[in-house]
Amino acid sequence: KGAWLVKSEMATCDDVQKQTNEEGVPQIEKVVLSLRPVGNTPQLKNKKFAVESSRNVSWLVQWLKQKLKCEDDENIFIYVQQTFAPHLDTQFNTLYKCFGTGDKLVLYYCKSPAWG
Amino acid sequence: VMTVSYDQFILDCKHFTGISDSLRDGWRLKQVDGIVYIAKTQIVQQNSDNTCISCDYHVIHHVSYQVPVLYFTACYNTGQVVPVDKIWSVLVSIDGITDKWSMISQTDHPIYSFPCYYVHPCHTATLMKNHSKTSNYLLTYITSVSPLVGLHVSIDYVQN
Repeated sequence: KGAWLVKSEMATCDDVQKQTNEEGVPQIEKVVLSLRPVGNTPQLKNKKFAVESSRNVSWLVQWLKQKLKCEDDENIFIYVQQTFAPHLDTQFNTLYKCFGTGDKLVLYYCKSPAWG
Repeated sequence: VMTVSYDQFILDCKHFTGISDSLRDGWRLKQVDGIVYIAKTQIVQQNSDNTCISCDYHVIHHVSYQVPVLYFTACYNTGQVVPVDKIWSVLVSIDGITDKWSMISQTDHPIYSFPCYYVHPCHTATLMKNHSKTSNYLLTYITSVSPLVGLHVSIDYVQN
């Protein structure tokens, strides 16, 4: 029953699995994201992550901007089903309920030069 | 770049306003001077002294660029036009973008000729070139630019 230590905000799927199996650890709701690039956007090394279900799209945008080393004038857009950009306030638990397939939520991300 | 023909744009508009009707979301299909477009009026801010800002959004197909373009105006309930600096602080939310004017500029409305704001069509084209696999060009465009201009598009548009 060791202490749980999450090294970063983004736990891997293995961590989530371990968490649900360990005794005495409180169940924190997480959503597994599968992130896919659109157009010429670079691919992530690890495309599957578990995040707190209360996090929202805006948080993911900031995270991706950091991860993809975006310039100040570059933008990240998130889409479901390659079609719809949800409002930045939308939480992952909502998106998962609407668009989750199996155990995960597939999201597409697009890096766009900021309008110029 | 990825463009959309005017005929396809009309089909997309009809589909979009059909969903809007079922959601009571307020988008209307309009035809003026033979030009088909969609329009929505929305109250975006209500102040404690009962003044509010009413915003009109029009999505109109651009003939030269062959892409949809979002035009908008904003007025107080007195009828007074919202000044430029208030537009930025109230309506337009742009995180970390240094040059606002590169995305939203002023022009004369293509149908009615009054001054309004718009998202320049070259930005539509640049954005949409990443979306060759979209199943709904218009929905992708509108949801991509909506955060810029205080427009909220419900998730239910894609549920339908």
